Amino acid sequence: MATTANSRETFASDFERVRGSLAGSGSTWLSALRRDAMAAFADAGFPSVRDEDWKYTNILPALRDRLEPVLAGEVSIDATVLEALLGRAAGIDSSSSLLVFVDGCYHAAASRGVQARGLRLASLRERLDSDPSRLEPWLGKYLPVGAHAFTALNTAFLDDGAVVEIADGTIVEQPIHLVYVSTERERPFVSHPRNVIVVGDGSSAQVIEHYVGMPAARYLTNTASEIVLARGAHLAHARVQDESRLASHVARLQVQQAAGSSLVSHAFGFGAAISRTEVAVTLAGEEAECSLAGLYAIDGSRHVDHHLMVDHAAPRTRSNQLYKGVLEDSSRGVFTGRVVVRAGSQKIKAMQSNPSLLLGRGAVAETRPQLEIYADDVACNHGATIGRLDEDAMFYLLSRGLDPREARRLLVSGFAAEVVEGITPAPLRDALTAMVAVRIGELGHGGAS
Amino acid sequence: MLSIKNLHAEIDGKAILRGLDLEVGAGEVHAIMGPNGSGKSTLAQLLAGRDVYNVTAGEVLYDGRDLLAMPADVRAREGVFLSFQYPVELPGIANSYFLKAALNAQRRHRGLPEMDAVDFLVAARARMKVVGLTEELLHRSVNEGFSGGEKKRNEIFQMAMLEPRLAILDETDSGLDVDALRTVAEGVNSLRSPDRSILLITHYQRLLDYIVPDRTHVLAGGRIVRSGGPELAHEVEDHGYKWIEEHTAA
Repeated sequence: MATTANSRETFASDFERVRGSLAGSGSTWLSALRRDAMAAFADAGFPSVRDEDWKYTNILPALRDRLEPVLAGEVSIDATVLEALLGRAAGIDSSSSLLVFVDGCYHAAASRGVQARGLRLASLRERLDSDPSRLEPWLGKYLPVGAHAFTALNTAFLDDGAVVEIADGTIVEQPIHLVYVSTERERPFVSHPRNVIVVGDGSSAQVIEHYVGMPAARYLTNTASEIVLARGAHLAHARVQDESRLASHVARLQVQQAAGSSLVSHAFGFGAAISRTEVAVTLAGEEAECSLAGLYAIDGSRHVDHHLMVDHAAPRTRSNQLYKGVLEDSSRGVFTGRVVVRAGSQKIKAMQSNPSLLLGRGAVAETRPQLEIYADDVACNHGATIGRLDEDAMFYLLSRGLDPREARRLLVSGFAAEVVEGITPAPLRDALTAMVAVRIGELGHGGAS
Repeated sequence: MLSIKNLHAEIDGKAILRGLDLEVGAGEVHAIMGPNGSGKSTLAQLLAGRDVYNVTAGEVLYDGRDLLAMPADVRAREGVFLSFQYPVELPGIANSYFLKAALNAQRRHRGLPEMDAVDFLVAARARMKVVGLTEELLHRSVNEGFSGGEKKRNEIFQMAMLEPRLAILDETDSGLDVDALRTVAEGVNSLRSPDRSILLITHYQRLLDYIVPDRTHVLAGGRIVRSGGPELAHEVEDHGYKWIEEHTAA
């Protein structure tokens, strides 16, 4: 049994200590939200493997070190270090909007907002300090604050993050990159980035969240993104979890979709000793659709968990889940794909697929489809395969002169390719494809890059 | 070029090759014919380095060197090429990327500079034309969704790009209609050269109407039971393998 230095009491006393310094602390509704969150956390405590939703992920090792909160003004980063870390974030070019956060706090000097009509891009802290009531309709509205300890803590401690607000009828052409950098601080720490992404009627945008860390950094990133898509809105969202191998990462993507809206989501999991990424989508309006794709590739004795929940709350909604896992050494990958079709939600299409490739002898893949269907006019399927590298394919590549290492890298890249294919625009897809190839090449080599 | 002496090989304890002898000189084309189960494909795969076979006796020399001591990828870089009976589909790996990686791995091994994208494309276009492949197939995943004929042409296209010194063609004729067979054969014939040896492995004689071998051998029970000139193929066609075996002096 892992002992943890972070008891409920530790977080409660940290909260009392820092609450007065958190963004928007003067605002009544936000104080109430934080208080409720803290109460929910005190009630529930941390999840254990006895909780059905956490059956295959023991998150307690993430809490083994005493994790200190980080306040704005307490961070600094060397320019060359920052540059190197930004270099790990794929697809950023000079035309991209870029918000950078260091140990959870907005770093204005490295950020740049490309001006575009109908786009408002700012840090959460800035928005909460200048105009807190503006965020009240969204912040904590769809994310179930008490879903578990981590969503509760994220809400109680929310202080900074990105707010991407896109007005009705706006097409934002350039991808918006959000980069969360974690440094090697004197003591292990926790950050709670909270993002709000609102896309107006008929608007469209691309947002990419990158989580990177210095190699020896010890921390927990506990992040949550709330996404609201209005009627006919389209969002291409990607998240790249490429944290330090000593770090822990817990994330929740909460998406609310109105009629006719569409979400194309990509989640990549490469880093962290232990990570849990939740994607929860409510298809609340007719003809709303989401495509949730993911790729995780880890090695050593690391652990990665992706937990998807799609709620078909309206008729004629469609969802597709494609998550692929590559597990080297004795790593462990967990996938849960939950699909709920509510009574009265007819003409539903829900597809799910979770193939895993076990490269290491001790690697383990857990795959759990969970279908709860209360309507009858539903087209639904799911499939999961767990396999090893194909011997015939391997021999074919060797017989053409590729050495075993290159042949293996090529086969794993081929396995992963299907996940990356759906990314737009093409330059971003190419950049992410290249990054995937590099991360796959690093597997089993201690992550040396 | 290739010298096989008393080769014995088994898989899962079952003997497949039982004392096979074969000498192929530089620039020669040899056909190996044989009934199903005679060990034809085992021979092809074993020569290319498939490691599922256990060699229990004998030796294989390639340019005087011990071929069996080399791993499959080293054999390829040393100029051995196998055209697969069943080319493998590689989803998610573009044909062009795969072939360029293979070509450059071989060029590096031979001390040649790597080929850049433009030179590669120019070379690929010319060779695809010879085997009747459209350039579009270069951008698709390797063999994925290719017709049977396209897969076989793709093998010969790869051979044309990689320019091996010893090419082993395993049932390249199977599954091809007459037009495709003719195109593939023309492709192979265009690759005949004084410093390239070719081993044609086939069940039927018809391929040998288009690619005329210097020598023909009949493989049965894991051994060469008859050797002759091109006319041997017609004897097989006329009388069948059983007759050949029965009319071979023991």
